[in-house]
Amino acid sequence: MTRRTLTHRLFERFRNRIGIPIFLHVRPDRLSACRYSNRRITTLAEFSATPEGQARFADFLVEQRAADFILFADTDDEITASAVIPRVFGRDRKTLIRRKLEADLPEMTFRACASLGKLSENHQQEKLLLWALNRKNSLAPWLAKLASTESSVAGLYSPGQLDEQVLSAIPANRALALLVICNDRSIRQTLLINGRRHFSRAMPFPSAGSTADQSFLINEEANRLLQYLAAQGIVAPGDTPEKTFIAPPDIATALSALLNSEGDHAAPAKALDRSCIAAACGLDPATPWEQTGLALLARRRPKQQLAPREMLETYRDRRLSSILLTLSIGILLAGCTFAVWAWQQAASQLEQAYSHQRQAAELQARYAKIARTFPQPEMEHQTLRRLSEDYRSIVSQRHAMETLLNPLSQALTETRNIQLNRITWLAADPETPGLLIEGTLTITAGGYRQGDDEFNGLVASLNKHSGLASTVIASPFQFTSDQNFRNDRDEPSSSAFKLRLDQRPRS
Amino acid sequence: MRRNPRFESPLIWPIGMLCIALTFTCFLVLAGMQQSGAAKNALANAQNLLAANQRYLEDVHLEKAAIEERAQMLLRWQEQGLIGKEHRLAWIDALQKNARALGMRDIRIKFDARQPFGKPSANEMRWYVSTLHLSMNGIDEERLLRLLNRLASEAKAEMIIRRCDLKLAEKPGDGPDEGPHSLNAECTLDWLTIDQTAERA
Repeated sequence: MTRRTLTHRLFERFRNRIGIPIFLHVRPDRLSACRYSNRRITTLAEFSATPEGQARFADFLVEQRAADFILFADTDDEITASAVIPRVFGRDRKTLIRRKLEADLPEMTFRACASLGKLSENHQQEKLLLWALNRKNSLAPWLAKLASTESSVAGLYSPGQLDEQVLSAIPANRALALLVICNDRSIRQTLLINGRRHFSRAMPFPSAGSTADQSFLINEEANRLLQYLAAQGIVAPGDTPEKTFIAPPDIATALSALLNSEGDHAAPAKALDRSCIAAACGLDPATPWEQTGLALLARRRPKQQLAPREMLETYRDRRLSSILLTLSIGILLAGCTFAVWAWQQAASQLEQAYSHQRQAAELQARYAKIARTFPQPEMEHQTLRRLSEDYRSIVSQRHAMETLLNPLSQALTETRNIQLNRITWLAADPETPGLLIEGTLTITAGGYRQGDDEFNGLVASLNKHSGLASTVIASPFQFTSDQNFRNDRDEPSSSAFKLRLDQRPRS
Repeated sequence: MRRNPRFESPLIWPIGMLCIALTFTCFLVLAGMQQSGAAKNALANAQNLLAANQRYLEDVHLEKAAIEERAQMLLRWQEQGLIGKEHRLAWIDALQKNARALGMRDIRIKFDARQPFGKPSANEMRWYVSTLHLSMNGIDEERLLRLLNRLASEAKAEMIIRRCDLKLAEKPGDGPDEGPHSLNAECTLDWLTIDQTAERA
């Protein structure tokens, strides 16, 4: 297998996973395959309800394996029913709805339901609208082809489901309205309360007679339906829904004339030309009436659909598959983006690191060049450093003694009558080493005053040194009143003192 | 050959792809984080190296000055004879010579055993201390200081005065050098030398 073939196959496989929506417009006599883009329906192919047409349809399905098919059963065979269930949630609600559908719409393959909200008179109960396609045989051959080709069916919808969209687009009373839509072969009458469908039925278009007769019959049918709805209690007594007719131009004109002739005593009503509905619904104004319902479906698909779960398995698998593939690609892309970002960051940081390393190497080379000029002692640098650090500590201790003894020696040279008896070197505190000095002051003929001056001179001389602090612990004189402090003395006497000389702590 | 229906599910391949994508993404993220972490570490190391080298270069002149100072110090120690075995006899000779020169006769000395000094170290060389207990009678403070200063400058060791107790003699001696106010001194001196550690020695 060449690379191109493999790539092509992978691309095709991925494309098949994505799913392109193709709308299959099923009518009693034919099926149209359409695509919706730019608010416009494009018909891809048409198949008649004959064996040849169905065979061609099968071939078409094989060609369009990548597509998701959305069926629009425009066969006017929809029936509706109302049901009331207790207000429950979750699995119980699903079970109740399934039983209601089986009971009220038995033997119907294509059925669905929608909630119409709580009952106004009893909030513990919920009203449901059930609907189903009555004549499943008209769909069966097409569905058989879809099943045989394992095509992906995304949903099955009826025209009545789109009446809510039509009502919201036209100027009408949304609170209570009877919408009468005249197709080419049928008339669909839908009762909408607060914009929600409560009842819907289809009937054949009156074929005989003039346009005026047809208009009269259409209006009569609408009036009869209103009476039926009132009798069934679907419309409250006294409430009159506004009738809105959507019809071909000639019928719409005739209906307008008829409604005007009825006067004020009749129910409020108006007739609209169906050619202006497409534009009112936000579609391409050139959309033909036949495709308007399909375009509305393509623009906004209703939440409920009629196909049973097993018909949608391929579509669900494909959706899940595409989600998983998208997730895989997203994860891979995120991972790759992160890795690229991380590697870019790393490359930038490594570049910076290499730049720093180069600069560091240059600095180291410069350092080595300078270091070659260093002296080379006969001892290892580390050992010498440690020894020198120890030496500094030794020197600091050695100088401590000298710094105390030398000033003391100097101070003593200036004194005559002071004699030291004892000096004790206090080395217990290496941070503030000190001397404890015990001495004697000899008091001579000069008297106490001279002795006191001499002692004070010694203390002042010691304090003069910036690194020293002297503290007098015991003064040579104990001045008391019973002593004679005269200056004239015949015989010398002595007096002991005690001083402490400390190094001032370094600031 | 019958195929296992579990492997025919259309979701097998997408789930497989998702697993592969997750594994590969994990690998990419982890590799990216590892690469980023390694680069961050390399950058931090390079920045530290650069800062250290810048610091070294800025301090190179200081370092050179310190090494020069230490080299001179080593030279001085070598000249002083501080390095190697202690010279107790030389110290005693110096002590006695200086004491005699200063007229101090009544001197008694006692050396303790040599001990390692400072913090223990695994280095080759370290300081050792030899403690000397010195007793002197009939001296004065001036001569004592002079003796200690001479010893500090002449001895082949670094000398630290640990303690010195000077006391006035109760009975002055009769000798010519013993004045009326002679002192008795008890001093403890540490003689420090550098030598190899005991283990290496």
